[in-house]
Amino acid sequence: MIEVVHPFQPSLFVGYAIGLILGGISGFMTGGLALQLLRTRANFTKERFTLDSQRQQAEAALKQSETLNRAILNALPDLIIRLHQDGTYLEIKPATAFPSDLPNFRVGENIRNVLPAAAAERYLEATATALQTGTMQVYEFPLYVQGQHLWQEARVMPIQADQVLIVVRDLTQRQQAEKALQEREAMLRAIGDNLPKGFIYQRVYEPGKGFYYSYVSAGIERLLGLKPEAVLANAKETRTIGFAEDLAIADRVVQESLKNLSPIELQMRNRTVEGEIQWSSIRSVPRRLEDGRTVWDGVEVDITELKRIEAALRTSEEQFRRAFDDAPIGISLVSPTGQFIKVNACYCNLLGYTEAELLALNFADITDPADLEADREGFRKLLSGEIRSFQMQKRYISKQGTLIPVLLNAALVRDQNGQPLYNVGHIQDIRDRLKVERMKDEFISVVSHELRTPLTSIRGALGILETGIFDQQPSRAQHMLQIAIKNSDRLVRLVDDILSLERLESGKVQLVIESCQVAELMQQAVESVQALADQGNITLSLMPLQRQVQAAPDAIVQTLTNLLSNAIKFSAAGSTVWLTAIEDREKYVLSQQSACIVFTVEDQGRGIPANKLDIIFEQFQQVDISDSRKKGGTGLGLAICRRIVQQHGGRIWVESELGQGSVFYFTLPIGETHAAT
Amino acid sequence: MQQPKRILIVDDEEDIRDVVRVSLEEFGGWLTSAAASGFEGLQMAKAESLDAILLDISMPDMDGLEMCRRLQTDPRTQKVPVIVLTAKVLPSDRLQFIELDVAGIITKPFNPVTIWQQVAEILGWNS
Repeated sequence: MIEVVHPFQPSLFVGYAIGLILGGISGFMTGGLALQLLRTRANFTKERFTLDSQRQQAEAALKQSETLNRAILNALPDLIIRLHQDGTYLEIKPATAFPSDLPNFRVGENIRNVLPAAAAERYLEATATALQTGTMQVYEFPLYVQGQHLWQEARVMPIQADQVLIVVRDLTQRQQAEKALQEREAMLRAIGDNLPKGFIYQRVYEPGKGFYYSYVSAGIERLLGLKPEAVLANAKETRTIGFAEDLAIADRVVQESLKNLSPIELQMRNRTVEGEIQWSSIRSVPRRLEDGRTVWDGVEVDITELKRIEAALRTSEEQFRRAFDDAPIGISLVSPTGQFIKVNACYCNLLGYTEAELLALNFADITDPADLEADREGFRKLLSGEIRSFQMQKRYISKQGTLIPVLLNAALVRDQNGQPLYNVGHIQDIRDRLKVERMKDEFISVVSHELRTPLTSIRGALGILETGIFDQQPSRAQHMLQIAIKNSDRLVRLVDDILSLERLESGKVQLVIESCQVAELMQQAVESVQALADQGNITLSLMPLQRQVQAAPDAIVQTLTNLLSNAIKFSAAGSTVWLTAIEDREKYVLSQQSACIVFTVEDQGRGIPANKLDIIFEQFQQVDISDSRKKGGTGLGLAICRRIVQQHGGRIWVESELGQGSVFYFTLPIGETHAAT
Repeated sequence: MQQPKRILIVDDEEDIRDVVRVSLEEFGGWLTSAAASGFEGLQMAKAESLDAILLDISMPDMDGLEMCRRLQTDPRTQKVPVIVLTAKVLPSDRLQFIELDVAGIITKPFNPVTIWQQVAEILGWNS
């Protein structure tokens, strides 16, 4: 138990205690003043002043002082001890601010019996030093009392040759606060210094002083290449690596924040030492201090990689969007249940639906029932993982109800866990391809047929001759030989025409264009068919045009010859075939041409049915399928004519009336530079 | 003694008609007649007693397909076996023949010495 002295008697203890407690030199001086008052009282007693009034005044003053001192002392929260140098407690004023009821802690007890040995020795050591030096000793020490860790400060003041006054103040809370603060600072520093690519800072605006940094963590050097101390010394260091337009934005945001205390969120670029662009994200929150300063606690972290990923993602998304939206083929994303999730413009155009309409449909809704089972089977195998993709030719039903044949490529996209996300379908409109394939098949079929027919006669005739059965029948053998020779010639013509047309179509042989005299071309053509005309008793009537033209002369002669041959073949004996040419600047010129030569070949033959007029220039599209046999044609002559005329930039057509005859026209454009001679 | 077979050859190609007639007559020992068109062939088929018809497909006015259909719908001709003799050899061409109930197909060009054997084999005349 603590022995408490009540009421506390005025003594040296009180005076020194007040001085010590009030702290430092001033406290000590206050203590000195109290001591001086006490001494004054002693002097009064010793010298026995006779003046009562003086004594009464002095006593009154002393009493007043003691009362005051006692009140002050009792109000103090500290533990106050008067201790003999041997460790004996002489007086104790218990603490009110912290527990001090140690066992045996009472007047008359020795400190060694109260405190742990180390603590007691520390007290006695300080006491000895204070007495020896005559100066106050101050030290702090930890103490474990009643289950609490305390941190205390002891002020040890010599008051007599063998006594000291000790004021014990509890610093536990201060100590804890300091420790917590230190820990927070350490944590903050650790965070700031260990941000992977970033730093934390405290920026201050102080009226009259401007902006400056009060704290910058070490990470700034790794991130921006700036030393923290340089930035602390000069806040404008950070501006040296920024971009002007970013800094201008930042300045506006900071001013706004200064005005409204709004949080700052910025993304800024910096130029690294290597000259590369570094992106930072800056976030800070302002607070206004009582002294008028504004403080922003903030963090700046590197987001260069994030920006790069964002840019890459944007690019990727843009590329995907473009590839998806602008693809020349239809693309769709279909859910595992078959619902359309996304379709591109081509897909919509092909099927005649809007995107919104398709997104409300299932792929089965627009699939031709005949193809649905095969499509579903492919879909099922994709979902089950049996196949990664499949291709099939199928037909969709357009919104207008027509069947659209497409080539479908389908593949399944799964998530990271392997769960099906959606099916990517590419559809290609194959109507044109099918048409071309059909045309190609038809062409091959016709060519094959046209080649095999004369070959059949040749093979048959020669095969019969080889057996020798007509060795004794020369006329029949001769007939077989004629069949073989006639069909051989036909075969040669056919092969020639096929090759000629192929060369013209493929562009492998460029026509050699040169300046030609139209009249000469017409004369050459007439001469080449004159024998045929004479044979058929046909009159050829030529009305030549004296005009130079840029053309491939052989090709034009071939065209005229083909047309004249046809006219002669299909004309009755005694009739006339006319070949004319005129220069035209109005009726037949094409829009981009100024003038043209118009050739006409007119006959009085059987004419061409109206339904054949448009197709007789196609390959193997004779008016009569047997014409090629009867008239020695191949079915390619007019196709060759058309190709030659087209390559000259002209056009070819026919006008005809059944039973009356036909007029074949073709034009050759002429430039103004090629004036008539 | 067995009567010689009577065969009608229908082809718009005169040279082919000649070669086929010689082949069947000289090597097969059969009797032949020939028509240059579908119409002509149809008339002859109705008028004559025939054992078989060798029919070309690509002919003007009435092609072999049409003539075949008409033969098969006429009671006088529907029992006469038809063998298609054609230069149409592509699969796409052959698809057209599926619908026809013909005895067989012989492709041009053919061996003139053995064509009669092909005909006999198709029609089961060898046994």
